[in-house]
Amino acid sequence: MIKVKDLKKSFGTVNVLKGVSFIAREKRVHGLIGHNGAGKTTTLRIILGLLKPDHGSVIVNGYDVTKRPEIIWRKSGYVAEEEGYYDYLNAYEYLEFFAKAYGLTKHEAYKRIKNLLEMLGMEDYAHRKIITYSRGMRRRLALARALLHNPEILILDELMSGLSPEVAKEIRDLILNLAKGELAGKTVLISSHNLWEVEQICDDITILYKGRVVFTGTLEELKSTVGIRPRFRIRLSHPINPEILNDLQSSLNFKLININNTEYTIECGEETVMKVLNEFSKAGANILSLSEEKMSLNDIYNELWRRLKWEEWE
Amino acid sequence: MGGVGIIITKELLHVVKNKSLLAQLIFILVFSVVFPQIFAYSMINYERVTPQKVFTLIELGKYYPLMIGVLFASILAGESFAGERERKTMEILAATPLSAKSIFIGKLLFSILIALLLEIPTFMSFTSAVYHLKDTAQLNNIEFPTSTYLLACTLSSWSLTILVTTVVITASLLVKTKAAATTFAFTVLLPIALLITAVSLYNITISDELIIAISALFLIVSITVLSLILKHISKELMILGFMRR
Repeated sequence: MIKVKDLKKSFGTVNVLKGVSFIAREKRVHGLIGHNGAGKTTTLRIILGLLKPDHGSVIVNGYDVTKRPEIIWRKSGYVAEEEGYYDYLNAYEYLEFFAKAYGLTKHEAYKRIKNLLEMLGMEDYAHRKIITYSRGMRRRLALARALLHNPEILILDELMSGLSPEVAKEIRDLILNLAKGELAGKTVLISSHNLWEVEQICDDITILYKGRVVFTGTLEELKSTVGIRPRFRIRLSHPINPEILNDLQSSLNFKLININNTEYTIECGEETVMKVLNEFSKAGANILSLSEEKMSLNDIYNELWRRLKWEEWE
Repeated sequence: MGGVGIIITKELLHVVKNKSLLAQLIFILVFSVVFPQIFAYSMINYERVTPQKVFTLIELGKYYPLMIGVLFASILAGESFAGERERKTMEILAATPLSAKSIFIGKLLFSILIALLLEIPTFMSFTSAVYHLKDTAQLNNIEFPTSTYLLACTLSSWSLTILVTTVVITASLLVKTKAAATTFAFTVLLPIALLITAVSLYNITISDELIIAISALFLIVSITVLSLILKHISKELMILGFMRR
């Protein structure tokens, strides 16, 4: 478990983090999301003991790693947002160097490298120079390096950024597969711009906005915190008179999102939808179908972002 | 100390497998070894060997290998931190259990060792050329090289190589780009080049004993600088440099 408590960090006069707190629980994938400059990378760097916070602590297994960073260096694997590679080496030499740095014996390193290259579909690339690798293959190599010493904590900063959709999908599938096997039992912290990916992979999320946490918890908790009501799609036999529809909106307190011929998308509570259906029937329309529209993390995040901007403006 | 060894091995791989860097270093080495021989050969051939010129060359012998060693060390040291930051490999290296101190010492030791190792053939080539010229000038009454001379040469090249490498690698740690680190390295080289020019043109002689004393002073300065850096070095400094903090 990683317990981040009231992190503050400034560079010169710029306050990058203004009191970041959240908990990344064990055996779960935790997503860190936010716009550019929200403080995601700085937070990850402090967790990794690469930057010293001006204030606050990061507790890993009872140890404050801001004071004893060597603990997190041994326990964590890290893929940076934009990282370089020793291009003149091949995958095997590259991983062998990091295996030594993580204290693996020659025999352990050989076994582990072989396994990882196989697991990540890189066997054919083991003896090719990294300079010849595609971007996707480099990200795989970074993942292999991060997993080399079988770390308890895996920190992935924008793993999929800059990848083509096909390669991003490949890497995402890889992570999802690993989550069941290699990654199972590890605490994984992922920072990403891509909310769809976060939704696919993460169990919990923390949203950063200009250096502070505006939400931390599960996606369901986020929905109730933001207070977004579910959306329902209702297909009718006949259209409803617009005047009746207006009256119903104000009397039953639902929000009409979209009308497509005889299909109506409304936003309201679960109890209200039954009343709406009742009123639609009374207005002479048969209910052909009713379905709940799943709100994506992207929708919720956009709503949250809009509100934060509005609050700021006010 | 294990971490230092790992970094030295990595740096060695970087030089051996990086063809452009290796070519640069080989070129300097070949030039520095071959140049004194060609110089001596042409002087003998064109009968330009005079006792005065031999004395000047004996004096130059104290600085020539040093110049080459410092040049080597500057290229490697400039590459080290700023180069890693530019190639975006620094952060990943910093996230390993290797301590900031061992990474710094590893990079420093590698640059110094390579420079000192390459100073040996350069010094041998220069000394043998001068020895040959001394014979040609029939200066048989002059004892060359004396043990004090050898000690002065060795100590001056070692101490200044260590000092310059420490300073350049520190600059590489603090500045943002590799270009800035290399510019700094060549600025440090300038006084040494000027000293060599002055010795060649104005026959300036600095006694061996004084050189030994100055070298000892340089070593003390190096140790002081190094202990200061090791006291303040952190992974934050390695990733961001001083200018970007």
